[in-house]
Amino acid sequence: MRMFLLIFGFCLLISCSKDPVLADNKIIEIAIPAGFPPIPPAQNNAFTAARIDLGKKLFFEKLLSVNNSISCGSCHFQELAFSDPAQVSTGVDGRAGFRNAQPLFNLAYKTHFFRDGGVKNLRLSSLNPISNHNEMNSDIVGVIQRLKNSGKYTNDFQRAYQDTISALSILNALECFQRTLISGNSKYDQWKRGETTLSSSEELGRSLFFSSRTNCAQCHGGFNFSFEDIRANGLFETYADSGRQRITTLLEDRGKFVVPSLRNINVTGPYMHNGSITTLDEIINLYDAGGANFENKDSLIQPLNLSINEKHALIDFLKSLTDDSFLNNPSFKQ
Amino acid sequence: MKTFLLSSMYVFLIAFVAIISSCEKDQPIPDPKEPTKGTVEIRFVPTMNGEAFQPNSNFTGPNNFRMSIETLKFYLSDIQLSNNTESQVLSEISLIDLTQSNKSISFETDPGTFQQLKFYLGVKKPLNGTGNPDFDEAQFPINHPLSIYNGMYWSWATGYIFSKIDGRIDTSQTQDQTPTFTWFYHSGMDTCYTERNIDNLNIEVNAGKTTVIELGLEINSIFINQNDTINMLEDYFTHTTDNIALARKVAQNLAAGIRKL
Repeated sequence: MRMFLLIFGFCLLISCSKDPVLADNKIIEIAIPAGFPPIPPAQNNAFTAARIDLGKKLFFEKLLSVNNSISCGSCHFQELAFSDPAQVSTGVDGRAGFRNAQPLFNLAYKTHFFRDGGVKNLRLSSLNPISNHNEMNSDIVGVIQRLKNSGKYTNDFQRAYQDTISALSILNALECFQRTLISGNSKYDQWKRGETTLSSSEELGRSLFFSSRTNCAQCHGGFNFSFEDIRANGLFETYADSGRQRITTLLEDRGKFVVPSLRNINVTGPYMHNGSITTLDEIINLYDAGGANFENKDSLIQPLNLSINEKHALIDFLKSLTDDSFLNNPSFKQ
Repeated sequence: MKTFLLSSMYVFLIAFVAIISSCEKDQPIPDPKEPTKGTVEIRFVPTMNGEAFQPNSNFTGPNNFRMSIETLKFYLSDIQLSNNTESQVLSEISLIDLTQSNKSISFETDPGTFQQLKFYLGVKKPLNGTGNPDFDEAQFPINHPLSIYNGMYWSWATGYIFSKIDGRIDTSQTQDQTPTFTWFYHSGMDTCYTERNIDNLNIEVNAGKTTVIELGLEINSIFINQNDTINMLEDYFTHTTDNIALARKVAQNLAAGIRKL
């Protein structure tokens, strides 16, 4: 009897010990900034610590590129809101990218991806840099092989997705990590929550930004300072890059691009689809002049006749959209 | 008396066990059913100037350029057999890879006599995911024609590459006969969805038997049709939207080039 009790107690003890796999796979929630809507759920890819962890490892994994030379993190720098300071990013073998790399934040809310909005979900969007000849120049089969050969990831995939290293799990993990990149704690957000005050210049800029005089918020409105419309801002009279037309083939879509979020704009330059504008002053001057004479230019783009003081105020307001806690969040670091 | 009772009990027990065991269900004797379906095998026979096509080997292409083909893959949607009264869809979507050794696809179907084979080169709209935000291309298993493992999903635009033809060509001034310059024709989007009817098929599909349909494809017909020849010096690539006319021409030439042998 005594022996039986001993064995029973031992079994009880074993069953009570913490299971690291289960703890890792508990579905967790990501904190949402005040004023932000709930994060739309991802299809069969809820947040877990194991998935986020795997996604982050893959984000900084150079084995994703054909010659193991670059990772996602090579062109998306956290301190720059995961944008690239280069006009176009440099891919494998020094190849120049096609368009300016976009910053990565609040992607969980987006419904179409890339400058022309050609890809419909975040999960599939990771295929593009992997297979683009000017970026990683690989394919998903090659990525799987290299990850398997490295011997580093088998347990991670098992923990995160109860799967071997597969295309779906790779894309899911990258999606899961990127969905955690939520930015909503700028000075402006803090001001909205009543935690701080805006300077007089920032306040003037804010009122101009949301006024019908500038119409900035007609395109750059909402919690993310973009409604994700696809419009032409009149950057050029003729466009070398066809923009949205590349996807739809329609002439009326030539020169149109997805309106970007203005959050963190002070650190995400150079700007525009081709990285041709380097400063916020140039941007304000472009819009103040009413843009170039381009047939598809949006009717909202009109000369503004801003004073120098007003231009400075708009820039100060845009700078107040920088979220330092996001740029320095240790959770996102390699 | 006691001995008699004991003996009777033994007899009863033995009889009871025998009866119980005899009630056990008999194992069914396999009864071979007559097959009700026949098999149709569509076998592709690609040629290059009449010779068997070899991927990555050099051949003389349009305008006498020396060239090679490294990739030659395409989707066929709604492959169907038809006669005067009925048509049977064999496959909703199939991926043909002519650079692989196995160039056949097989389907089970009802017996009958059929005069026409019809298919569409490309991926039909409901499977192309362009109009359905919930259509998840990443979910297809590795052996599915629409799996992203096949390298036919366009990573920069929602949708599949309908036909993917890549290779190398010698366009050098010296014409040293060594194809090194890459060319690629990636046709897709609804504009390249191309119907192909092959009449006078006259095949009979019998239950339990395999009927083979051999379809030839002369590779040069991708570049040359009755009206013109693709100028590969200028038109050496298309992702479709950057040269729709070329993408459409390649798709049409490819579809028309598939013929019954």
